Amino acid sequence: MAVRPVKKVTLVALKASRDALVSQMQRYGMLDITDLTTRPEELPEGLQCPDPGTDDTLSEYASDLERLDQAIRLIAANEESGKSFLAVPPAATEEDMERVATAERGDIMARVDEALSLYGQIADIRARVTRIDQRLEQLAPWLPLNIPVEDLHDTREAVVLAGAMPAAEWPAFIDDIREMNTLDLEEVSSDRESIRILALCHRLENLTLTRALTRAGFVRAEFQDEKGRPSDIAAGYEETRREYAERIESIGRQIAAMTDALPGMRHLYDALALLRDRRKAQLRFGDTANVFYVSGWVPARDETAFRRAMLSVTDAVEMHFRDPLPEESAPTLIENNPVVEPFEAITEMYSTPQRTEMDPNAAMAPFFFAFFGMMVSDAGYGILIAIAGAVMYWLMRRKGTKVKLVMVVTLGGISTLIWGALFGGWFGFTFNTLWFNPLEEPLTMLIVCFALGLIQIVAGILLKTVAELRAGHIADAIFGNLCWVLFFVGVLLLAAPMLGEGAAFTAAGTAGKIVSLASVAGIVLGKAGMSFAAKWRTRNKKSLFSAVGTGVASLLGGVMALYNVTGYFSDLLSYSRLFALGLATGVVGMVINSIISMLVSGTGVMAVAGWILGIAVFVGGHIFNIVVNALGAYVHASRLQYIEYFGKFLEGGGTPFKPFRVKTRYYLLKQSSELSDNMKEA
Amino acid sequence: MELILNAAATVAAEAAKLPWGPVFALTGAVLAALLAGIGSAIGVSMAGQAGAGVLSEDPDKFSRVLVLQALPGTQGIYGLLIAFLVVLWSGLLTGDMETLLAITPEQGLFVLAGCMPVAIVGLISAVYQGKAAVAGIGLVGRRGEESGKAITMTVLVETYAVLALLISFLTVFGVLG
Repeated sequence: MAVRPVKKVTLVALKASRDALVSQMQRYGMLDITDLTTRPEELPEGLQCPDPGTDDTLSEYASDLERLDQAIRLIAANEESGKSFLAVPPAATEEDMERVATAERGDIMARVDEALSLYGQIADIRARVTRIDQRLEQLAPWLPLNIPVEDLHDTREAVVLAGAMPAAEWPAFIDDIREMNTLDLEEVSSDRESIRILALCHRLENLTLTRALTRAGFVRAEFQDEKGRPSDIAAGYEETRREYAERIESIGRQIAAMTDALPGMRHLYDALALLRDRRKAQLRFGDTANVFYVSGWVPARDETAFRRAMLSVTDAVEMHFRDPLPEESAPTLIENNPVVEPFEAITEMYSTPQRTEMDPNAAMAPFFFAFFGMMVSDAGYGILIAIAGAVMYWLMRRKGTKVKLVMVVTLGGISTLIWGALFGGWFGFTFNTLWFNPLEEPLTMLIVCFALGLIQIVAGILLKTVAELRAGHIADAIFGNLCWVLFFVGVLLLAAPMLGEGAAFTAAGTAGKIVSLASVAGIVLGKAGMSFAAKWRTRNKKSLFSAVGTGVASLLGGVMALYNVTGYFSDLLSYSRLFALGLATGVVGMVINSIISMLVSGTGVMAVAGWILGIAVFVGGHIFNIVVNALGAYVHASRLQYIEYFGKFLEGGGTPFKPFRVKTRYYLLKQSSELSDNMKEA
Repeated sequence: MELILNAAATVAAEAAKLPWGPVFALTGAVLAALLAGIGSAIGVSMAGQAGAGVLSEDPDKFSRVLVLQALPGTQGIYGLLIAFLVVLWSGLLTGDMETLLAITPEQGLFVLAGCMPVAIVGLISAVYQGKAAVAGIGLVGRRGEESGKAITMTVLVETYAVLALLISFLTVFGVLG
């Protein structure tokens, strides 16, 4: 539960051992390498940095990886699904990776190119098919025309025109050509929008016809190089289209037949990704002709381990460790116990704490856990969420990936089960209520929500107090924060006489009065005193008159500090979302169940149909309700942490600790035993 | 003239016999489900259109876009919640005519007024939350790693729908519960 200290490490070694050292750093996996290209001021004099943009090796890796990725996706689309989800990733040793990246790389890349060129052919044919489809669509209205299109041209005596005009213009057009004597007009086809016509007339009347056609918005039909009757042309296209479809299918089969190449491609992908990462790391180094210089961060406790890991590669390496300087920006390394660790995912979505701040995860996890469950609050749903999350987590664990968010959801399911049992909600039905039913006692529910909210707000202020104390701002800690906590305690005590009769309750009420008034005085006078001191110190003319003036101004400022109470009040109101979402789940569950009870209330055949339908509605409805409410609970529980909680004490904006380590997608890298032994020893 | 007056008097007499209490209460329930539902449909649809645009560029962002798209959907659920509780507590759902007809016109109007916050704030906040979600989806499209911030900013809009729901609930509970 904490932000772990890190140490700055600088390393100088011979270029001859650079590759071996970089590999070892990757294996070691706890070095956050500083990019010296962006921080040239860290470079000792006489060293220079290569420009990463122009590195040929890196762009070669990147281009190979991109093509591999495309080919793998393409071929894998043909793999049987389902199998890949459950499969445990195969293991590979470093030697395997090395071999694949060197000896087998050429062969595998040749197959990649083969797959990509096959896919290129498919894309090309698909484009042609699209063009044919478009043409067929244009031809469709001309199919009734029984004349070969190459004959649609003017003769010595006659003008021939084929084309379309908007249907709306038709009556006007007919009116225009009424006077013509030699016109032969044939309607080829028509629909709501337009009419296709074939018009023939003697050359002498050409002008009249053309004018009428232009006025009607006539567009000539284009048949470019096509020959034959439109129906024959279309049949020809259909034939080509079929051939293309067959070719696409046969090429598709060829790609599908390449699944045997998949393991090799995936292996090469990982091998090249490792090499690319190493190359990227190298490009952050500074160098001279013979030596290279690395600057980075390691966890402070790993100093010896790191030194040993490097020395096991070569003796000719010089390392220097030091603590970060106070003003230096160092990455934030956060480590937590396995229960709190998943909740780091929630904080990561918000921001990384500063290195000098406290890690909020342990102080946030219980609240997130409680709020998530309260907003779903159905024991049956909780069991399902927890099981689904646990199964997902187990499957991903086997693949070597650890998704914190999945674990958060699993834990949220457990919390949902607890709250659901307390409220007696089981799949929208109410029974065996351990505490109270929120629908029958909504006011109790509201009070519980605000009580939880008050606890979190007070916790937030207390954490801020700790942060202020650590930073040495003692007055701020007491008057700006602690007094507010006292104020809330006092106000709560004020309410005590309402809860019961007796001396104890009255005494509590009196104590509340004293505490709240004292805390208000503390807030006002504390703030006033602080600002007076600050103003007085910077003042050059010090007289009694100016002292009174400054005092009054400071006092007003102090009273204004009380205005914060509105902020806390609106924060508190925000916790009513616990109430709203908690009730929403229960009510939607009840709606589903009342639909079902209507369905199954029939008799005879209706009862059978009703039961079948009822079961379908039960399963579908409750799954929908779980998904929607779990999503809502996750989002709103996060929001309460971010705005109402973190907003009080967390600054954020730190740089996360990003170690240079082995990252693979398809294969698990097995470290050779000798090396891992060496590191364990260290 | 007399005829019209007579007709008006008959209408008034018939209207007075109507069970105005339940009519007002159920009108409130219907409006709560109706308006909040419309708002959510608009909001979710706007976000969905923006999301489809982002996904056409980068289908891997589906889960992050989906969360943002779903956010304006809650108002419809809040409206349904209030509508259902009115229908349940008024006795309509259980067929309890005695309770239903015992609702006085005053109580009915209280319930109708009580339904308004969730109906109107639900409608408007869902549309505006949809707009915030559209902007958030744009942010996710350009910088996928910032989805946490996009979600938080979009969720801020919902606070007011939650507050409206709270008041609607307390009013309806106060009258019928």
